[in-house]
Amino acid sequence: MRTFRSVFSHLSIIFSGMFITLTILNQYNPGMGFLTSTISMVFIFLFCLSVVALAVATIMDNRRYAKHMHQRAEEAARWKKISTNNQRPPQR
Amino acid sequence: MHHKKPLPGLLVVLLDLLGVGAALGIFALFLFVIPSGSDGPMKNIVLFGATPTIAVSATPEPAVQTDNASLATPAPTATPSPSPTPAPGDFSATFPTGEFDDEASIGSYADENLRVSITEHRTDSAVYFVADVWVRNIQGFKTAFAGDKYNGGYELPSDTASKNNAILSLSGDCYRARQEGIVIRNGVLYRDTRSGDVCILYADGTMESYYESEFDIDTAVARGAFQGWSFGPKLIDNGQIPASYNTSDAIMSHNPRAAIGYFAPGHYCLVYVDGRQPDYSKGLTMEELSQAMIDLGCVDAYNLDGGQSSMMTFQGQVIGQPYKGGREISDIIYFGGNDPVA
Repeated sequence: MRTFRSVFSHLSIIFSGMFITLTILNQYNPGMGFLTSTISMVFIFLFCLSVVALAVATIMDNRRYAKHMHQRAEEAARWKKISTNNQRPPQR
Repeated sequence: MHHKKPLPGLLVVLLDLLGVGAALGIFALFLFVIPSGSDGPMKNIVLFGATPTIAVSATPEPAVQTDNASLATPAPTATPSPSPTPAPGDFSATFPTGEFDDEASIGSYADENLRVSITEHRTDSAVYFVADVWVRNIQGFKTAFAGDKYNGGYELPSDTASKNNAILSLSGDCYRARQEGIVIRNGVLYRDTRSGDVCILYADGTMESYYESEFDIDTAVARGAFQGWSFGPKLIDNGQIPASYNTSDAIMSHNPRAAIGYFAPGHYCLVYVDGRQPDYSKGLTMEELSQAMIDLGCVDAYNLDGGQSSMMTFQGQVIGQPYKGGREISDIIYFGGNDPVA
């Protein structure tokens, strides 16, 4: 999952950089169709796919981490309870 | 569990930048080098016999069509319908004869079918050249593709003009730089998708420019569109400077320009503006170009590909000083010389 996230993070950066460049170029010459051509649409679609994949991977990772933390908290609470029960009474 | 040592942060940034460059390279490859559109004509609009006729339906099927093209093009009917009023395209009645009377002319040419007179104009910020053109027949108004065929590549406009032995030429709309936009050349429809304002020269000699939203390809084809360009913007709106232009602010500022103007059937002008050379000519803004076309007496006018792309040649010589010597583009407008091959 970490590799998957890493790959799609870099892909998202690459597509973002590309579209920032194309947006600037489009300001100077919109007639060239930098943002409206068929190939632009293909790249926008790929950008969307990579962002969705990254988002899904991030959400799954976050959920798994939250679940893991919850389990750890429960386990810690259980151990705390056990250790409290096993605690010898204080010496007088 | 063994963890690999991560790459240095700077290297990761550099690799991402390299990725951006590679993606832009692939984008440019598909946008400019390998256009996905058709390589063949979609439809013959005007056929020339003794008199030009409009061939709306009696046309061959296109060799290859894009999805957009097949959606936007009306299916040919089984039986050819009678053409609308035959477009005469013969301007012998108005074609001038005799000596040139323009003393300001810096170059002129006349034969039995073509008359050209070039004048130089200067404003505070720009130097521009106007070629006043008369043709006896609409077939004298020609266009050519770089590489002698549609999607045939890019050439310096002067090279394309030389190949066609053009008397006068002007850089066109560089249709190949975009995958959309009307392309009609010498009576043949090559691309029928809209992109920006459109200019159509009809077989009867009239020329009209249209805002993108008001243009209809089927109507233009039925009227006998002979040449069609997509770049723009439209420069004259009902005899006035347009209230707004269908283009970006960057294009509106001082720039080298190429434009075409229309006076009457058979009588046109090509305008070339030098620019981006502060000590010589900054170029014209779009409003200044509109005003210049109105001052010339044009009824309609249309902006073609400008900047470094713009170039005019006359009898084999480049007119003015194109910015950085010009650049390779995909098409020209020309007069005289060979008949179009594509």
